[in-house]
Amino acid sequence: MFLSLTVSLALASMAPELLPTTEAVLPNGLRVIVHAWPEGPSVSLRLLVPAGAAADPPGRSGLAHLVEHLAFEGSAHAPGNRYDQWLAEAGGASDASTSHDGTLYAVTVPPGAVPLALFLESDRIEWLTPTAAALANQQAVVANERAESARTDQVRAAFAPLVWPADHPYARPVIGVPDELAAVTLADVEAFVRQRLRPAGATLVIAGPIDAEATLAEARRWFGELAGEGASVVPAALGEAGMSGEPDLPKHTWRRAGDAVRVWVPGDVDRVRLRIGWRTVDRAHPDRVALEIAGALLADALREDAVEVNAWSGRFGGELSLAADGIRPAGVVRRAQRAVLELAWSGPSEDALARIRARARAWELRSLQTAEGRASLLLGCADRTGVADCLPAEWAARERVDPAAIRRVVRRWLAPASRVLLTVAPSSRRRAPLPRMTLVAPP
Amino acid sequence: MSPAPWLLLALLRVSSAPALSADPGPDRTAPPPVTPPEAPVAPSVWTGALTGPSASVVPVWLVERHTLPLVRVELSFDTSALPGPPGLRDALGAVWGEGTATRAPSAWRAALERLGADVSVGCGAVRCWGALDVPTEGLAEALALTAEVVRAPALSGPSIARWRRVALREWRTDWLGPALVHGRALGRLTFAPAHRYRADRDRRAFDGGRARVRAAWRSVLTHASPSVVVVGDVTPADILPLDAAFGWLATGHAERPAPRAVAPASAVEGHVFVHAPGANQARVTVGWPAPDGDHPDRPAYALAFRALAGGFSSRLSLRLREEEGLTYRVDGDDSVEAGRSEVALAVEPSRLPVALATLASVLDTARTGGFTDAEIAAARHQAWMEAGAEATTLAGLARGLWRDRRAGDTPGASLNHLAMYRDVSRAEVDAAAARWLAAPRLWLVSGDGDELEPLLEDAGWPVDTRWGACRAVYGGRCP
Repeated sequence: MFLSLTVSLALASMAPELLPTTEAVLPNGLRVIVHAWPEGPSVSLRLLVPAGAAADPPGRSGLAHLVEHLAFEGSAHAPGNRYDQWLAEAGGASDASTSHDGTLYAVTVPPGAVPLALFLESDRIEWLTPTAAALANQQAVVANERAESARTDQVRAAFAPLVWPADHPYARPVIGVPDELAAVTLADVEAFVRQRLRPAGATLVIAGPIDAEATLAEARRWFGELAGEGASVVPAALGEAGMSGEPDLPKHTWRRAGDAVRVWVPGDVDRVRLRIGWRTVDRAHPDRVALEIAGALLADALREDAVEVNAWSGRFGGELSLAADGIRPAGVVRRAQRAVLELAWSGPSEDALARIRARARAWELRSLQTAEGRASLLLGCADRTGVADCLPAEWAARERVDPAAIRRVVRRWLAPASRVLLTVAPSSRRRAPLPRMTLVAPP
Repeated sequence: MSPAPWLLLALLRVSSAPALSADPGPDRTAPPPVTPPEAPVAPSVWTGALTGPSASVVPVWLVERHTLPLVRVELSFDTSALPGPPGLRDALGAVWGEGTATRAPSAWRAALERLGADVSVGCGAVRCWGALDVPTEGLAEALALTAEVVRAPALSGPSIARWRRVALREWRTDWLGPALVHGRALGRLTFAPAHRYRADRDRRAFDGGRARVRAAWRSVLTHASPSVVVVGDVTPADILPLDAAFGWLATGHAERPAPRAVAPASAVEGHVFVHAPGANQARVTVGWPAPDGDHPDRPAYALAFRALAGGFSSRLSLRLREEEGLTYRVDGDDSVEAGRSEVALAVEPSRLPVALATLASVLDTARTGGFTDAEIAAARHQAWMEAGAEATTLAGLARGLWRDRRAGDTPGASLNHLAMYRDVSRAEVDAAAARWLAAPRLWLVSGDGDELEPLLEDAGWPVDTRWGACRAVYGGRCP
């Protein structure tokens, strides 16, 4: 306990100057956050446009991800492959990713290439010039991307619709389903770009060995002239809008035991894969932090089974899931159930909570070693809480989580009644027997 | 629903923002000028030694980084000269960080986590290592815990049994996985038998019981040369606890083989097809001998390979992905130590012939026509940026220093080596490409044979051999 407190105090003493920022919101709605970090060799720029797969229109799943690909295919002042070419010549590197909640464009450049990066990023937001040829090409590229991860995607594609209602955006795969992806037209892309790839609601973080005020002025110069109409933010109502099309699921067999959903799916997988999940809370919910800690406690309890625990909260909801691959499902389910019930009945020890806190803080501290890590933390905080340097507040929130809070959120959110259990087995196997589940409602 | 705090802040900011002047905006007709990155500079390294009771001297290299209250201590054993199947090394890597003779794994982990510390361990073909990451305040206590697991790891029966279950499951599962098959095939076909990079593995590699694993660990402790790298928020005066933690280690006496790789076992053009029933893609890997780290062509060749296959802006990626839409990504791997390059991609089966022809065409064009100044500049700058970024993190810095130590170089030599890229001319890059891209290539294709074999025959790759699960195309051997 004493040692844990020592670590806490040491890190807390850094808190006031942990990630100082200079910020502005441009008239067009883009929020710019600049963090000067003289020690870094490179500058990280991360632009989050909060239009992800949840913004895919009905019948066009995968559109947001496809637009992310097309964002590298040329803009009015950086046509063709100039984006990659100019950035590479400067020593820069770029990446992008799409989630349900948004699309992230990430660039790392040497300090002397920040204006180039701002030019390129702003140009593709305002003057992206998708062509029919580029669209067809990227549809083929995405089809290959989908094929590369087919086995893992297949499990997720079977699991998500069990956790989420059919018309919820999180029930659909970010990468889209093949038929809908192939049906995307240039008009669809142009409409999405016009309506969703906008500065309004987006956040740009710049971190590295830079002068904060000068960099903010440079960001104003390049992004300030972008039009303010449209909004990248997806309203909750739109996010909840129905998605058409058949689920991309293999044939499966449904079974119900009590009120917990259990499914066995024969699929094109290499080994038996088990998923246990609960729908939890969105990122603004006061129970988020306690559920994240509960997830870490479950991971510790199930370490011997090599069970991966994933507790996340997004804009439209959250999920806590356990994943075990290639292990006999029955034993894992029994031990997982026991671990959950122990948290619900007895709660964790103070020592276990202290270890989780210390581990999380140390991980966050280690991520401050790079410009990318700093920019990522700032962007995650800004997007999740509205405050860029939210680490001190997060640490304080974790300190407030006590054993009673863990018992409460586990009883509330991880009840057997709302549990989903999925087993995906190789097609060649006979139907795997499902473990017997004892439904014990916590008091 | 109340507005989010940041929205209120946004409104305040907007209302107080100065009105836009008649600024015409930036000039977008040409990209703004850039100042390219500088070559990375090797850090200042303090060198010392732990002096043990048996007059052993364990070298210690230390780099001070005081920007964050973090320390990384990396203990490495050079195991490249030790006998034993690779599976046994995997076992050590998996279980020697799982508790001590007197502390259960959970108790040992808990003690570390209370300090905010993390210990990661591993064993491979050339080293076993344990890395401690810890906030500065907890260094002494965490070092004692780490020393405990080095001196007397539990290597418990249940841990080993669990590792074996997991490893065997993955081994069976991945046996026909494209990446593993290709890696294994390339290893067999390009390295001589018993070469450490062949990484042959069969079921026997997983048979080691507790006694065998313990003996292997004793062998590491007594025969492999240890070294310690410390980086982070410490000074030489702060690392006295290292003596208590690791001063008992013997320096070992196994002769380390020269780092230079032996000549490839196969230096002929080869084509191998691996039948993977039901595969939804065709996977292509092409490999060829490359200059190793000591070869005078290495700096020029490294730039050529980067320009050819280094990331999304490389020539192969632009052609195969951006122009042809043939693949999601092109993976390039240029192994300095092994002296081998390879390029891998996955394609939709019906487009395999086009992909093979395009890949061969790009390689041949690079061999005969060389590269542009812009391509070479991009390769040079990206190499510097990556190296600079690696040296920013404590883990990356420690890794680089270990590489230097193992190569017998001075501390920071690998970073200084990168600075040589500054002086490499386009003519040298083109000459290196012409020399090394002319070497015989080994082509591996895997996928569903029922679908791919007719396509390969049409493309001039007649299938004439069948061999168990593999179907070898002419010139090849089943891996």
